[in-house]
Amino acid sequence: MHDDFTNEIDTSGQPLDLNGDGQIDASGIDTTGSGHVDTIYIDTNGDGQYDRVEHDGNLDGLTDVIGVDATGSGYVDTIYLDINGDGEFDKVEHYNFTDESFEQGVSRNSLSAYGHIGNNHNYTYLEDELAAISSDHEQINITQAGHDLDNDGQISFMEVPTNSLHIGRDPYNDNDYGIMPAQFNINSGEDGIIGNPGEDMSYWHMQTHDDTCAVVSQEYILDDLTWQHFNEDDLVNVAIEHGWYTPGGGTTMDNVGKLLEYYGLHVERGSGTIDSLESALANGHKVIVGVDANEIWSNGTDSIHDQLYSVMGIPDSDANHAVEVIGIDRSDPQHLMVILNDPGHPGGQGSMIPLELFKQSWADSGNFMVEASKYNT
Amino acid sequence: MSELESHSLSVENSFISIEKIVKDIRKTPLFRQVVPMEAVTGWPIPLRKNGRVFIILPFYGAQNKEKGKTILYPPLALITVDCITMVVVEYISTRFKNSWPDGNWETAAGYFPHEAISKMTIREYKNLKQQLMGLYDILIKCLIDGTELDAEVDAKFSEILGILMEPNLIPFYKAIRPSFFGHFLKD
Repeated sequence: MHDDFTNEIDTSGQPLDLNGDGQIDASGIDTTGSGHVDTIYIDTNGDGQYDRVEHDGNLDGLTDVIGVDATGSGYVDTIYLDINGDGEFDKVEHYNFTDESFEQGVSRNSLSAYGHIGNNHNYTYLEDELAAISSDHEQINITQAGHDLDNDGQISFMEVPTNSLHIGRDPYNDNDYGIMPAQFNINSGEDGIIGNPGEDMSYWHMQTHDDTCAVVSQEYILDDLTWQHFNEDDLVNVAIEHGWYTPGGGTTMDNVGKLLEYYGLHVERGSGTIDSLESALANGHKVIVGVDANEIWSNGTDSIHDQLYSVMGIPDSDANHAVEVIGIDRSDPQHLMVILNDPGHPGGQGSMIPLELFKQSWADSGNFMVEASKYNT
Repeated sequence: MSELESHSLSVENSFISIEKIVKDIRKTPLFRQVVPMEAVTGWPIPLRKNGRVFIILPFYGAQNKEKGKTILYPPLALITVDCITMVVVEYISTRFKNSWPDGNWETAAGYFPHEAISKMTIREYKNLKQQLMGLYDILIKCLIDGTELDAEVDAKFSEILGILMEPNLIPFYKAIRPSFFGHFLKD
């Protein structure tokens, strides 16, 4: 798509002299055959190359799309879009010609999803580089990214890099599930953070089947340690084929980790302790544990006065869920927290659980723990 | 009520409690090997055989995606343990062998909470469940001792089980142990 915007000056369209210097510096095109110019190609620096394109698809006088050469690459590499037609750009797409990666961001105004797409493992958070859409429509600075995880049209949580180091969630989000959102220093080792939760969070997605928590927890780890992208449905099929997963039932504890072994990772299963869990995270290993989902989802916030129809799950139903532990936050000695990638909860990306509650929830599974690493260490 | 309490206090140490059995089964190697960790434990089913008392624990799949509407699937496994030694004496995959017509294992068999309990508070539910677990302990003690269950306990057990049991799951329970549920869950 970007190459289409890099034509030499071509007056086959309607030639335009936008700055009135007597030189043709733009060309207007009717791309839809409506009889009206809806797209203008512009040579902003007079080098004879188009380096900007503006498009008004519905001819309402508001530009819907602008493409620019944001990096001086000589090509239009960045496109800003007005998704909801309110005259404000709320989406950016950026193509990096050097490493052929593609990234996109959507502002909170769109009440839509925000995503990272990269061609390699180490893609970065786009908002750190491109910050909120400003009034001149070119300087994008996405300082906040809204996630509508439950597709109800409301932002479930916001990513707010407060000082480019922290990830936090918006206090006015619609997440009323009671779990604490991610609020920690994304840099491993900083502020008492054990593990690498900032990066590990990026592999999270919610499980799409009822009982694939263990499969999806393994998917996070496979994506992370193998630097390849795995698909939940593909993994489900592999697990069914080998008898590691039963549709309508789930995964037995002994079979948690089998997918990791199948794809070449080293796995150890057993009963863990907080010390062994911390040690694994500190060594860069990945950890899946069995927990009582209802305890961590309520995070101690379900009131005993809440009625059953208003709460998630079945009270006192024991360990029934697999989650990935991605970090431990010891920054506040009075409030030690465990950071999870929980595939079974809409707010499970980097959800934080008080250590004591986690221990209680984990104990229900006999402290079941799977530790995975690339090599047998 | 005082009589119920006195029964509860008389339970000997050899059998600790049904709650402990329900909790500890998840820590056994067999459970880790054959029962999906996501499975929910159903209502225990006591039985006496050859002078010993056993507990059948049913497990079924559940889906927790929505508040106030956990989907319950048909029981997928049964594990029977000696209630004193915790030795597992039987495991049945009900997808391989069951007492009810094969159905769609991925279609909801019932929901939690069902109508009779949906407006209970968490405290009320936990209290009622706790009360039922206490009655289980009394019942099991009677089975161990070979004594008759007090009529008041019998009626109370029947009443609470009837409230807590998801009506749509009753056919499965009755198929697993007709005599027990035929007695306590009268039509």
